[in-house]
Amino acid sequence: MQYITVALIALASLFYLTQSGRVAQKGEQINALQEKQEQLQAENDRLKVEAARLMSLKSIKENAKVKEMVPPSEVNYLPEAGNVASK
Amino acid sequence: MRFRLETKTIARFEASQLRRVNFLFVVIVLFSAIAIGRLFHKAIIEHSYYLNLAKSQRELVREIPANRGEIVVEEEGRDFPLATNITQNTLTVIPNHITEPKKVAKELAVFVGKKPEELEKLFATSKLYIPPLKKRLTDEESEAIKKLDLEGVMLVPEQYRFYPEDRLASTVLGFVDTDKKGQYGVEGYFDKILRGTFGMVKGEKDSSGKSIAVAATSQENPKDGGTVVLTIDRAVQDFVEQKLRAAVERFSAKSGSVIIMDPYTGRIISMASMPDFDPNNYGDIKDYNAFTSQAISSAYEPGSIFKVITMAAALNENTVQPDTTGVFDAYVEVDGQKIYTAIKQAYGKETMTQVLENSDNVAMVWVIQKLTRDPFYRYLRSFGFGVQTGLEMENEASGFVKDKHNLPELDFATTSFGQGIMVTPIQFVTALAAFANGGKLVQPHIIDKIIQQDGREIVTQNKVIREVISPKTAQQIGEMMVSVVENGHGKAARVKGYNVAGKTGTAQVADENGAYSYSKHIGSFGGFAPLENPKFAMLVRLDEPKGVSWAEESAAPLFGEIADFMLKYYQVPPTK
Repeated sequence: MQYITVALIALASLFYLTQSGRVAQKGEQINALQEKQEQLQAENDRLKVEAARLMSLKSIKENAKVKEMVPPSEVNYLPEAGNVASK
Repeated sequence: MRFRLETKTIARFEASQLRRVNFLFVVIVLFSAIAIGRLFHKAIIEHSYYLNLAKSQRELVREIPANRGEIVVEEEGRDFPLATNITQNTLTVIPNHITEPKKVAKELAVFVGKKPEELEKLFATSKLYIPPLKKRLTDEESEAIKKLDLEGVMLVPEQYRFYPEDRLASTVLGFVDTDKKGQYGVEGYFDKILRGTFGMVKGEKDSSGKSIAVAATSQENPKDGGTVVLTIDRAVQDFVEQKLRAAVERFSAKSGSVIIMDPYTGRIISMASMPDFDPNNYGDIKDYNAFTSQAISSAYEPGSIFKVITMAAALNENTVQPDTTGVFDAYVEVDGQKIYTAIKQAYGKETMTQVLENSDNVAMVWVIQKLTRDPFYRYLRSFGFGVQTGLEMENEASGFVKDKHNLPELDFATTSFGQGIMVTPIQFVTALAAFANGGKLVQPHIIDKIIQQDGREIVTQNKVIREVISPKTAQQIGEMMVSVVENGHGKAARVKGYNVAGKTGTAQVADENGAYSYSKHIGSFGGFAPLENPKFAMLVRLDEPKGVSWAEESAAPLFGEIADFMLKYYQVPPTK
């Protein structure tokens, strides 16, 4: 009887220890994933800012191709009367 | 005998034992009383203190900041941010965690811009905390510091406001201060909506302070701020700011402003003020007036530009017609004071259209006296002068309209040509919009919509406040203003191929003694184009331009340049 009691206690302790270990391991994994999520969020925010910077008029004006553009010297409008496009 | 002696000894011994037991009992009782007393003190009296202490050792409470909403403009279905958020690291150290102060000081000196010896001295403290060494590190700086892997050195991410267009529309936007509070402009006006509400996470932490992920936690998510969409057109705003900045520099003007409005909807297409500021570095500003948009916050005596308001009121009351003729002298006497024409010479016989072309003060006194006081003041209120327009920005001024009941006749007479009344550019451009749209005063607005975080949209509805003048009067005053541009003082505002309606205003400003200055003036030009189907109403104002005497030399050409751009930008075919 005594042996059975000791064996049961030992088994219960072992079960508790393995479960505690697993819980701690899962906790670490969750923390790591949360950190990863925060990093990705930060990277996403950084890219959004970079996109905003590149879409700004200042960036567009500094673009080499845009710098080569010249304003139109004259603007002409076609009269609206009649067909302006053929099929 | 022996027995007797033993009995006596035993009795003495027992008495001694009893005394000791009694003493021990008293000691135990005393200690117990003290222990119970202490227990009572700790467990009952100081219960909440120790409870909180215990909680703080295992409980983790962390604020989750909300992202501040963006301020954007919409172009062809895409959002272009004028104000967004950027996360940048703050470089900080924990002095007593630094194991190699010499090395840390040497490595960080280049980032901080201090000598290594200075940093070493800074680290030699028993304090747990010292102020951050540098805020807003660039991505490159952060990466370089991370690679150094220095003990006791920390990079703390912090969110900042970022304005990708730098100065563009800065006086419309305002800025966000170091306490994350919006100041001035749209940032100030919509601070509560933009800021959102922070969240909270409650859980348990381990001995190292790290969150125990599997322990019971409760989390209240933050609610990010809403996105504010402006009615501003980015390309127009950029062009207007360039031209206004150039004009302010060319005339060494104290300041300047331009407002362009869609006359039918009240949408602000562009609102520019100089001096402006860089909202990314707002702390560099020397003149705090640059934070406010002069276009809404600075009221001024409009001068001759106001003649169109008096004339429109008189036309609408049928007091005069565009071809009503009068003969006018070089001056008129009111309350014993002489009011002269601007050139101190008589214009003689003039139609009302010519009165505006010549900007004749004497004739305008005749017009307002024919109109009489009550109707004139009714129109002033109806056009919205003397009250804020309600534009969604901070620091809007209401201008000033004198009380008609106690107003001397001289003051009433001079109001006809814009003296003795204070208006703001936004009030005036709204009045001009009424001329352009057939007589309706529309609600000016700079917010297109607010998009809340849950996707709900609060769209600003276009609103007609009231009909101020009839469509016929609006047409008449518009044609008279075209005549001003074609034949009068507004020639510099002409755009080839279009009928541009406009009027100049050269307003005197008070000098140090409170009298009108002979050397300083405010030049303004207001109008709309094209007359046939107006695309915009615009007001240009330049404060104290140097080297010019009249608005037709300063504000009018700026108006013309911007009007030319606007008509091409909106691809409006020529109307004549």
